[in-house]
Amino acid sequence: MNVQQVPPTEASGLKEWIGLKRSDSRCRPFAVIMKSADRCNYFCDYCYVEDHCALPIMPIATALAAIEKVLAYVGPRRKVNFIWHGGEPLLAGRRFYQQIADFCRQYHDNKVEHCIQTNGALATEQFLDFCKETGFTVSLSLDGPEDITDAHRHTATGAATFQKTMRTLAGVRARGMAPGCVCVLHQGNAGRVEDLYRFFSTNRINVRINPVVKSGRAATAYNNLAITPAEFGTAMCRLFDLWFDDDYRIQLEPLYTILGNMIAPTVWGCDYHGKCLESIIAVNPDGSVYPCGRFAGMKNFRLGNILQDSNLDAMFAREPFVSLNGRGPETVEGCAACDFVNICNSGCMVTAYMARQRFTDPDYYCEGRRMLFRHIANRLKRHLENIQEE
Amino acid sequence: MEEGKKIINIHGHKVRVSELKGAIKDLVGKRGLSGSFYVEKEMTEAERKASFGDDPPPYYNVYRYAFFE
Repeated sequence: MNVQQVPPTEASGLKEWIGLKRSDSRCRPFAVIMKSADRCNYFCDYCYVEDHCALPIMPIATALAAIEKVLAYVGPRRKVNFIWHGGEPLLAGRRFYQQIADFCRQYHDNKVEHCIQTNGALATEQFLDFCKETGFTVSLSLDGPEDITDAHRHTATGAATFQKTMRTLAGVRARGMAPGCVCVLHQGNAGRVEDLYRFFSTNRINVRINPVVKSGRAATAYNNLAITPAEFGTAMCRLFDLWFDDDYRIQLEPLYTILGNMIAPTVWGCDYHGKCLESIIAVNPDGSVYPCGRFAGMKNFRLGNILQDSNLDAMFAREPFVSLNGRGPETVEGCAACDFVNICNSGCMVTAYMARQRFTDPDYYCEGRRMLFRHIANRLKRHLENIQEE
Repeated sequence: MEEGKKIINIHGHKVRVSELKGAIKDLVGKRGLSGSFYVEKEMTEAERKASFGDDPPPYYNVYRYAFFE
């Protein structure tokens, strides 16, 4: 991995053009990454999950305790997204989620949403019916066309997964739910963004692009997966052009969020608004609490235990939360002078930490992010100038 | 005002909403932008229902996951 360079001072005037943004984290939903299963039935090459928890499946009592404590902390006004995650969350079984749905009915005054991030292999017709009935949102994983997806997303025996995921996606769509996917950007698809865009656009699949993170199994296979920050930036700029010129056929993240952040006063997106620690926690099957799903299982970042600590305020008042929460443009080298500081806020601390184990580094993809921000800003400016009323 | 004639100010540019690229047009609605770009409102449940029907979608995607409306 390249050593991250401190970004140079920008002087294009884009900082003033983008302007100041609101920073109140309470206006955003609170997300809880619930690791309901810490085992997986797939064996993807780039899985970022770090040390596995001794307890493979979250006991229902732990899940209910977490929901209770989170809702007590957040209160009724702020929306809460419970994101059921893994490993593969469907290994916890449909009855587990039925109990969650039943338990949450008592919180009718709270704004609670449930989402499942799954590979879809265990999503039976009955489970999808349950999701439709209870409002659980489903997100799948696909890296684009079949040959790209099957190259890195497979079972432990090497079996392909694309066709199964597409069948589940069809089941989601058939129930009137919006099909959405996460796509990992890596060496195998970063040079094929036209193929990627055509695939997702033709199939009308909303997609979120996440660059590969050097963590978990991905760290072992990093030489075959890694893309440089510049490769990330180049791919995303091209993807933006394809998407922007196609008149919004699909929701493509994070491009949609970045564009919105440029024109609206509030910055959205956990790796853009700089207040992720005030907006996200992760809970492992044994009840251990971490500041983010990507830190889950890393002992240095354990905040406490949902079963043992009396409340979340206590965890947030001590280390390592306090130190982590201090990371931002004031403490990360080069950020304060950057044109895009107000819509980047030093990016993701996980990618920074995974590269060199230093929180004072900018986001590993900093160079590519700045390429993308500048590209979007310039295209937006040109577009607005071209259609401006006299 | 008719949607086609609605004017919005984005970064000092007065533009007709109907002429915006599709993604920005969508953002104007989803983020509740109106008039000056400084105005961004958090929709009430009633407003969300008025915009999206009886089954208001969740917030748009804000995390590294992919839960879309």
